[in-house]
Amino acid sequence: MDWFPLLLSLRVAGLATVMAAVLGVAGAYLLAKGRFPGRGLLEAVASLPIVLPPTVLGYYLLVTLGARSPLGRAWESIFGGPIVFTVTGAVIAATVSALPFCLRTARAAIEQVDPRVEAAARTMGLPEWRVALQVTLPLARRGVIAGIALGFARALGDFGATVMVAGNIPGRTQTMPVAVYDAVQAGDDARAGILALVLAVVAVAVLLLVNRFSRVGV
Amino acid sequence: MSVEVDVTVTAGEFALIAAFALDDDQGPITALFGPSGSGKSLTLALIAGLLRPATGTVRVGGRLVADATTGLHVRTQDRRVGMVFQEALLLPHRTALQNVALAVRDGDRAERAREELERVGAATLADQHPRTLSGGERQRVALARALAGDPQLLLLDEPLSALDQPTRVALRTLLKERITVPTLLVTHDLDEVAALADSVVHYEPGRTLGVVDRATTLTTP
Repeated sequence: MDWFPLLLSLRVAGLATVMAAVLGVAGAYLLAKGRFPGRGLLEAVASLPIVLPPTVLGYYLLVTLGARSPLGRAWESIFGGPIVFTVTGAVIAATVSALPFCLRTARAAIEQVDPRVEAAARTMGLPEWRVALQVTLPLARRGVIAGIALGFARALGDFGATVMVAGNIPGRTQTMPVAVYDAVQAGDDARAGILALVLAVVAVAVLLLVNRFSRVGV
Repeated sequence: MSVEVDVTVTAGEFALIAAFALDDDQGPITALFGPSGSGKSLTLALIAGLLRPATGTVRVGGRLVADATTGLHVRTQDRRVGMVFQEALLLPHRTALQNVALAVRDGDRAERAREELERVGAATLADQHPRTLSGGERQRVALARALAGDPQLLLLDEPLSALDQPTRVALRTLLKERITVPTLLVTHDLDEVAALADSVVHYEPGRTLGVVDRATTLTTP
């Protein structure tokens, strides 16, 4: 049994979750608290990965990051290689897929925090960044953690966007969901069954974690 | 500490016109007294900078902290006010001691926080979380927290009105003993005015009537 796809998936999903968590929580805070021009647009763009078919999302990422795009060219001149068809590409695809789950769940949790407690913290002299880090986010932590867990599940399970951006190169960019597809195509039912089971177990574990965190109060 | 308020706030159908000035020579506690909904708490929120006035200005200690015409709005954090709310609004994820320590501006924060808790008779509650405290205990901690930041002005927004009668009486005594900094106390309780206030600002719905001394209030309820 070749466990490369599982290890790669865990690595890709792990990195993607860290990036999606940082960007998602920061974005959630901005959208929940900020009043600035372009807020509605930012919100819509951040939610696009939920509504776009994954292959369409992957297509646009490919167009944005490909060798002929400005971003792709800049990347290549700095790092000496392309983004597409690499693990980096897979991480970016998974990050973008996971981002709205982190962002929307965290945002809802941040908006639930009693603004009077935040006001009380301001009267204590805490500067805004400390109100955010020491009051708002700790009080929203259950929702934030639930969002990160959902983002991880999404990143781990992504097929469409990953295949478009990172391809299906066994031993290099072939993640678990892609490997499941590959095994079915090759008629290797035993391998497909095991890989699918592992993914399913991880997904259910995440669901249990999310439920635990969304049910219990502060 | 002089306080000058001359503001208009509109919030939906509600409009508050508040104009009063308090001088240094009065005792520390000034009550903002009047019926519910007359804008007393709103005045505190304006002074604390939690709201912006629609028109007018707010001065604390001679310093202009809000001016609707120029858009000046000094942040709450920079106004050096301490505030106690009707519900204590302690940070629920921190212990009593941590709540107080977070408000200390410099020096040994934990040490100072312990001293403040001791002064309000809450030293034994230091390691408890707010949810395990009674209403009266929470308000003691909230008072310690408000004083720990060395405020130039203390704002008390109906701090006793959610408490039962014996607790209220006990805390009234505590406030009387502990408060030496200039204080605005919002209340609709005449007993509280009688027990605590050195001067009184009268409110009627949507408008303040100005500063009245304590004797006038108590004889003409």
